[in-house]
Amino acid sequence: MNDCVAMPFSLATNRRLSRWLTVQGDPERILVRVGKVEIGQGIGTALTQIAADALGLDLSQIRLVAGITDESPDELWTSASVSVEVGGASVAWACGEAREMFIQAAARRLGAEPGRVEVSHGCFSVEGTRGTESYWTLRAAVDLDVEAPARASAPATAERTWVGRPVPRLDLSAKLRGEGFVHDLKVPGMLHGRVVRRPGFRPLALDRTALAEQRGVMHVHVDGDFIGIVAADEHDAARAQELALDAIKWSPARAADGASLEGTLRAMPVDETRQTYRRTDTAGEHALAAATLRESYLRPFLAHASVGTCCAVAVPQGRGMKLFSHSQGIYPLRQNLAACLGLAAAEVQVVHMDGAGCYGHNGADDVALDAALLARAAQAPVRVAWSRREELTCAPFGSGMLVDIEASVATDGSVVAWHQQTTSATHLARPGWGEGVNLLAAGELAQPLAHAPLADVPLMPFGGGGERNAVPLYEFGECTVDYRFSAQSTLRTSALRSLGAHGNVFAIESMMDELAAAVAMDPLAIRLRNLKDERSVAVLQAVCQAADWTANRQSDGTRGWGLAVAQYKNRGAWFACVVEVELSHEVRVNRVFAAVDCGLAVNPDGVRNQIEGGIVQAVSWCLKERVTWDAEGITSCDWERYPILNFDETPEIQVAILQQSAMPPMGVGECTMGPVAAAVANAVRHALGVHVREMPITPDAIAAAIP
Amino acid sequence: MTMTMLVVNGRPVGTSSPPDTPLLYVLRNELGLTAAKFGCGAGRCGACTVHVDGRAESSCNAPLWSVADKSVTTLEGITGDDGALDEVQQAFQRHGAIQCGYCIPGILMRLKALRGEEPGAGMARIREVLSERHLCRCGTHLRILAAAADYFGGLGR
Repeated sequence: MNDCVAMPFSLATNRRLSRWLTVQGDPERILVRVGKVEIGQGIGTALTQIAADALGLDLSQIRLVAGITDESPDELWTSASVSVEVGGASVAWACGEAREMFIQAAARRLGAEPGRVEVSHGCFSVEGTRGTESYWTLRAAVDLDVEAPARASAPATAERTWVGRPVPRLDLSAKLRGEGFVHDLKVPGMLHGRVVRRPGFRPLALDRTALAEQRGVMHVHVDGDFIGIVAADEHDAARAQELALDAIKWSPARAADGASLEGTLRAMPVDETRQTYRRTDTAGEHALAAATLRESYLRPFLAHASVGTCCAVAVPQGRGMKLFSHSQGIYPLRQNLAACLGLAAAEVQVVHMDGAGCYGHNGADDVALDAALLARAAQAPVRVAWSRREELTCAPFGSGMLVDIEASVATDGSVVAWHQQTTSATHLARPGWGEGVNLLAAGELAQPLAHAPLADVPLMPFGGGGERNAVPLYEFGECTVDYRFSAQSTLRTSALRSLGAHGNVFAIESMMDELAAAVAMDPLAIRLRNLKDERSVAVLQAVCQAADWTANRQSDGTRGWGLAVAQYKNRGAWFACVVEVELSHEVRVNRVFAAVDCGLAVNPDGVRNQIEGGIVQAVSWCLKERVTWDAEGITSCDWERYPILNFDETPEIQVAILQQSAMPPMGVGECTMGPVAAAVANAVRHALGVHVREMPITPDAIAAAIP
Repeated sequence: MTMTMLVVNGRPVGTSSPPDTPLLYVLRNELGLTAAKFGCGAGRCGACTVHVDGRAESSCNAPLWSVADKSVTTLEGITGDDGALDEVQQAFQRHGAIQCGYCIPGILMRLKALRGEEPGAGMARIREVLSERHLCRCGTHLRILAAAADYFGGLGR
């Protein structure tokens, strides 16, 4: 058919409407199935709002089910801030299509033109007539087991009753009772498993008998370098794990690397150099440059550092296996698990249950394989929960990044030339990313399964990994951006909230302030001078107004103000912030003003919650966090050595949401990370005149940066 | 086999678990009281916080012998018999103070104990107590503090 609009990705790949929704009789409600899962971001509530409006229902008439293989649609991963944009659009379309089918059926029963049928609270009626029908009376008359047809335009939503309203989280009451986590699941006959491993090391000699004789140990499962323990009692399993870690002799599997972060990143072998962006300056404005700066910016390897540790429960089912997991991608995980277990995908079922917030690809998938291997060995249901040390050392990290920039600015603030080179390891190695098995234990087995070749996220269509936000939003005279990718990082790396956008925006927005200083211009003025994108300008102006930004404000030497702006992925939500820092024996962020434009904010309270959380986490990364390691392995293995922001260090935050009711919605989980980092660095620069180009920005880092 | 006797949520309980078993595992795995969570095993993150004789304590590193004959209250024990939320939970509900929610049960128990001991505690004190003993990774801090202020009688931030 010609003149059809493209369906949202998730619907296009799961076209059968019965996959998305089922009208249930008792109690009367509509089951809506989605592949985008709750990871603390409130997506379940936003998707329920979208479905309710698309169907003409109350929230209570919908039961949302997320993430069960073979039941919910395969939406790959809950990631990249597209759950509202893509997942929400798919739900709206599928539910809108279904509503139209029910309206047709209602029109036939009510003897009216479909155009006259109205729907409210799930009931269909025609003005001026008395009869009514409902989704439930029409249940047998409408067959949803059909493919969503191609259409000239997306199904229209009748009315916006729920979307755009700050609906409280639907899981609020359960979470306030501490309920609903995979960690809390107990199945009959369930045992507790632990795995003995030390990243960067291989077990040399294991006294298997001694381990088996530890209190309560029922099974010791050894397969190559994979050493698992199963006990009936969780403490016995955890205790045996600790004892075994100490007792085993370990040999380093890779050379220790004690160099500085910059040394480590510069020494990383580059496997591929890509031209991310090229814009040549035909007018030759180079001659106008008043100053040329060459600087390098660094972001450390960072941990996801969830407060809850990764957990999974595996239940053998005949030949097959059922997994309860907080993975962000149940279908890709299933494929990888099936490969490891020598099963067909259909013999493995993965059911999503809530975990602690993950902020990207942490150990959720890895622990699922740990549990599956031990459940098979014990021939019983096994729950595995990682220790704090495993959480901070075994899960993938966000890659360290190096960004070199040479930039020239004219006296009027126009940036006439910009040459940037970003260096990074991969920002994506989830199960399902490439051909291979991307699960920790898979590489430890006597017959290891090959990991997929490490390849970063391409800029198109996924928005890049190390290249994410590498291209400045500004319109510079001449601009080149190159990406140097390494597939040989010292540490295991994968997706962490905002991927490479954090390092790139930190570098770009820091350099903008350095250029401003070079030509004695205000940071806001130099941005407005080079920025053409209207929505970027709008968030910048909104936040400067809220923060009462005054041009060329003087610092008293202890307090400083900094700002930054970015559009996530250069095509997602726009975010700008103004940060006030105070410097004493510590670096403190006192206040953060923020403005966000995410198109239509489906749930403004959810948006606010995500933005506040994203700001606090970004301040934590920027001031405190880095993964450290030496010859003994990863040393940032507990909360003392991997500190995160405390309650007495949290800034005051004011968020302005620029609601754009007529624009498509976009996710906001990741847009804060880069701008907040840069704004903090810029505020330190404003306070002291010292340029700190490496995170974390600690008192020591500032002292080291003083020329 | 030694039996350890204690009172949990007002009910006498005997357990034959070894005396070095952390209280958290007894609560979660033996008694099915799963609101308290494991986070670090070192009493730093606070996810496992419960009341022992009315005081907020971490249960992940409290061996069973240390709570023998004592009275332990978990989050399940502060909700009403009809399932109604406690005042502290209601304050969090009003402020929508969750993201993933994993750290919340421990924080609720901490704040409830603190109000019992120091009903006049101000924001600085609340921040100090939460800083020493609790971590939140989602960045829900401001809502948690606002809910705490509300629970302590509408203190300003």
